[in-house]
Amino acid sequence: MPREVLDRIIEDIRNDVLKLSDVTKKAVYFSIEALKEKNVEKADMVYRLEEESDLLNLDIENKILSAAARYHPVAGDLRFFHAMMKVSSNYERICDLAQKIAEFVKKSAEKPLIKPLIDIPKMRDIIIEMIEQNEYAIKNHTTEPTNSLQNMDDKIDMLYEQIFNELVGIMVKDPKTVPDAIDLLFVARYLERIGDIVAKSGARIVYMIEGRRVWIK
Amino acid sequence: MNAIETINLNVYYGEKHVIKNITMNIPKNVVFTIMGPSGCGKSTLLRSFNRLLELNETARITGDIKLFGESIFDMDPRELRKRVGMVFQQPNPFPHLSIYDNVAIGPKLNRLVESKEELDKLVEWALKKAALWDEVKDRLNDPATKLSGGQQQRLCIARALAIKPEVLLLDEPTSALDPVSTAKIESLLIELKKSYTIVLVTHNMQQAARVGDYTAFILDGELIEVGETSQIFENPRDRRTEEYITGRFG
Amino acid sequence: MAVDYNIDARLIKEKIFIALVILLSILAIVPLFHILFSVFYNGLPVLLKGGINFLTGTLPPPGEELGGIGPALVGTFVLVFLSSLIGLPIALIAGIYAAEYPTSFLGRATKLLLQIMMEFPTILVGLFVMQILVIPLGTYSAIAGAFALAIIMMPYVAVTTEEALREIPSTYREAAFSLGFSRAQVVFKVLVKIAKRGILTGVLIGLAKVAGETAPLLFTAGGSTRIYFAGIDEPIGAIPLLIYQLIQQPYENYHQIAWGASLVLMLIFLAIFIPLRLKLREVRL
Repeated sequence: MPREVLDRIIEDIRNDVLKLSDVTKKAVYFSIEALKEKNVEKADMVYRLEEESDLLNLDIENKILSAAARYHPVAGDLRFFHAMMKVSSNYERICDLAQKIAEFVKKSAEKPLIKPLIDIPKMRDIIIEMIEQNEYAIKNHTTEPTNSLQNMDDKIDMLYEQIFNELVGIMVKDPKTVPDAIDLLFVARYLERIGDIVAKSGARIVYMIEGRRVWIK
Repeated sequence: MNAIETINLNVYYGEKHVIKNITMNIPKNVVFTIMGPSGCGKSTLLRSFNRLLELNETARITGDIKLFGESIFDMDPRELRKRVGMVFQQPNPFPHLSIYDNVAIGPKLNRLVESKEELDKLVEWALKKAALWDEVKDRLNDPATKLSGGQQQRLCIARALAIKPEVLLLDEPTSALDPVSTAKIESLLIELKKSYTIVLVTHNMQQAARVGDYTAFILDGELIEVGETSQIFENPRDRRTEEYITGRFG
Repeated sequence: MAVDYNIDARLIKEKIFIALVILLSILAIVPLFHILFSVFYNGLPVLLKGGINFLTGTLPPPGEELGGIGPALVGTFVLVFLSSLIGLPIALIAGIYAAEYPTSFLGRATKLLLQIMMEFPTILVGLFVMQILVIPLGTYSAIAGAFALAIIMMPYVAVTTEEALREIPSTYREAAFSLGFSRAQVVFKVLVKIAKRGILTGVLIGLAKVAGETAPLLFTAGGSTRIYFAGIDEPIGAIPLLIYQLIQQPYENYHQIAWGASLVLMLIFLAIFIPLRLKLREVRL
């Protein structure tokens, strides 16, 4: 097999996935920034990032399909293609969720927040760290950074519980806050989902590198 | 300009119609693979490109073939064959000649070189181009038959390159080789397409998928489909192509 | 049990069959060994007694000492040489032609003719040469003998040449043409060289064949027992001819010389064939 050709294709796909990872990070980051500041411009930016992620995901899928059709990958190559396909569509899904957060911002841009955001940015920061750990694993072909994914995902879940309880408290006190509080609850819920998806992507990366199945939740 | 164009090409062996009205273009500096089941006429098609078919007295050709825009039937067959090299299914270095002489015989008999030094240089160049030099440089005078099958096939590629062709025709060059030798030849082809146009006949569709930039699918002497290799293998337009490449044939 | 019985029966049948094959093979080679044995048994003492003089000397008078077979030995070499000179080039060309144009009328005719010539009674060749050379020239001669032998040699050489060329896988032919060679280059620079050993085998078989021929020389070479070589237009000796002539004489010493000459002839024959057989095993494409 013309190994060099396949190696070039693998490098190309790896770069695309890293690019998508970067886009995803930005989308998550700016969605919460937009929410914090009720900033429509930043929300629009998230919309554009989501579009970019769609295109990248499509690209990656096509490249992987084409490579599979032509080069019949096996073993490590096969696991690479499979993992990258999964990670790519997972990240695209994350961008969709970030866009949903940005949607809330655009819907209620004039209204102030019912409470200052504390735990939600914390969740976001953990998510971004997790994505970076996946990035590092993909780039350097090592599973070492993914060891803490489970931990971090647990932390996100805890934060979600906390936010949930807090928001329920606010809503009970003042029913007028209910619509806005539900929005925030959804934001937290989305972030919790994103954490799950990033962790599951990490499990795929572990399988790609070590050929060993791990379950995160 | 295309390297090779066939225009309404038909080939008959006696009464038998083996190539049926094929019109297609082979661009420059690509690996163009022709795939199809055994006996579909793909080797015949290849042999029409350098007029080697004419060795078979019963063969009859109608239509036209153009090499860089010029009809090959207007050329002297010997001149044509110097521009279109060929490598065969079985590695066939001349058994009576040494490794060196197998490469040297073409330029020598065609008077392409003036001196022994020039010939030495040309032989070294061809063997390097065929990725064989390092393996044989210390035993150039050994009989060619002492080489392994894969090395013999690369020697045949060197022999073809030594007469400085523009197009290289390969007729199932790896069907008699083990996977490692096959991989070497395939890598070599991808390297060679930078300077040559390569037409590769294969019944191994994985090979067509791996090395081809363009792929043509031939069935019973008819051109069923031709296109970029990734299109043929991901999304063939013709049902028969799909059946063949997915192994549902016949 | 029935099954066991069958196996026994088959084993016995197989043993009988193998024994039969061995027996028949031995029967087939016994005469050959008998010839070899009797020629050595009768010829070796003569050769040892006569020494080098037996190879170089001339025929003695009847009933006296042993003398030698010099003129016949020289004659055989001269005849083989001359006949090769005449026959080999024509035979090689004919063989190459038949191989290169197997479907043409001339090619097919050549091949058929060669095969007929191979089986042609050699005495008729002698008669033919007598008609066209000996009678017009008025004398037996070396050249007439050589001409007759050339005719006999040609089909062997031509047919083996043709076969050696035809046995070359067509892929070498295609390869040679694909390098832009002319037909002459393909044939003479590539194919003939690949078939070199096969062709050489044919040549040697031809030489061995004519070295042992008697019948075509009877009316052409004439024979010579006392003069080594007088010119190509004069009669000349040959070992088989000498044996044929001596064995008909009623003298004991002539019979002894005939046995000695037989051994020499056989040694010449083996000298050609043994290296040939050994060489043949090396032929590899």
